[in-house]
Amino acid sequence: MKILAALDSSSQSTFVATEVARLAANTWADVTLLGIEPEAVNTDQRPFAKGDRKAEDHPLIKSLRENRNILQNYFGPDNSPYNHSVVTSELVEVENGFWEDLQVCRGSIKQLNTRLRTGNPAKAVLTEARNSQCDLIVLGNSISIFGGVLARSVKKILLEADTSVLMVAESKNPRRIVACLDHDNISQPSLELINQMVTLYDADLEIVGLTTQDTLANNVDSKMGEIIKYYAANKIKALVRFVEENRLATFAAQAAQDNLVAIWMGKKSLLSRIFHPRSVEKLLSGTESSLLILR
Amino acid sequence: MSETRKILILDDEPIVGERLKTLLAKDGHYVEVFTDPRLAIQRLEEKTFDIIVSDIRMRELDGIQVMNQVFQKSKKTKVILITGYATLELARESLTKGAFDFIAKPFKSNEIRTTIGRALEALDNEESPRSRTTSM
Repeated sequence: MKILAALDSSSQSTFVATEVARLAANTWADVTLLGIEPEAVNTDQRPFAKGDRKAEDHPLIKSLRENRNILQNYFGPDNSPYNHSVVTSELVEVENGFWEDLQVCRGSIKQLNTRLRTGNPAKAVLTEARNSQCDLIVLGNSISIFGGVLARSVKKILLEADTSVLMVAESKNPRRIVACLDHDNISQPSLELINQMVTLYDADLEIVGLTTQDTLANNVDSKMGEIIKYYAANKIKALVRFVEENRLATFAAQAAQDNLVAIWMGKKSLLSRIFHPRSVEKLLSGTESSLLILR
Repeated sequence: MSETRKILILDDEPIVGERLKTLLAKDGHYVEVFTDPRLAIQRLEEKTFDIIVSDIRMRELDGIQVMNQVFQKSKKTKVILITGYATLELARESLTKGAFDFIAKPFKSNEIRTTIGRALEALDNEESPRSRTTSM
């Protein structure tokens, strides 16, 4: 599994890094910590290049390094899959005709990368997610991430990412994962991600099936049977609930108060139609719990 | 010319084995896929594989038991364990009992390909250590 954590210099990023550490401790995932520096007003300013500001004094750099330490310390000194076993020398061409012999640490079982991107935060996260081919983007609650100014980025990332997105909120662990699934088209990686969340939080699983005026619950029930069989085979007790299509957005907003709501929004999903941008905004503004968008 | 490596894939979900077989066969490896751990164990008694990719949670036998069986026959085989239900303890147990790597689902093709690449490199290094220790 590859996880991309979208971070800034706010205190909420510390919480996001801790949650990522917890998930990484279970899954031994490759992790990229991505720091976002919003677009500079003056385009001549390059915050991480030569200039007046030393990189180590930059709040984002400080925060990223602290967050990297959180992740490394979570495992203890000898048990981390990110520890390097080999230090080698590599000749790097700094500029034409000029090389530097750098000491490079290698040999870790898993990758822990710390990266920075400037510019539009949503675009930066989506680009990094695509380039790194991550399986999951983790970010903070929309209210405080990126200093509150960029709350709209969270919605954009949730709606436009090609991969699954977990928005973590500073609340107690969810006791239940409420998974709103499209019974026709749910992807295997989405089911696998639900399993990891159930394991991580030691939570119950409730699967929500959709009914419409034209579809009887027992028709949907037979389609959901395959999904239930899948969970039964994997020793996960899953409860099924049926919700009418026109009530789903309201149901999800209520369920999100106390549970981790997971919504399957892959390309073929019927739920993408129900959870249009305004519904997602309502869900984000109302929830004090975490939210998982599956793809 | 490099030698064709033999890889055994064991996962009780057929979709996982099918996906990996297509990918790894394309890379030039010889691949056998099993969904039943007992049949995989039988096959392991007949044939030695370079790499085993096994799910951990299966109905009859778990992946760690399969790994123990593999090591009884061949210590040099690299075992990569995959799981949909990852825990800290499981990751530690897998590694301390000798797994080459531990991969949580979901994962993309490139991740398993990279891990198999590392396993093959480790096998190459173990098989011809002399050629790699002389240059400083």
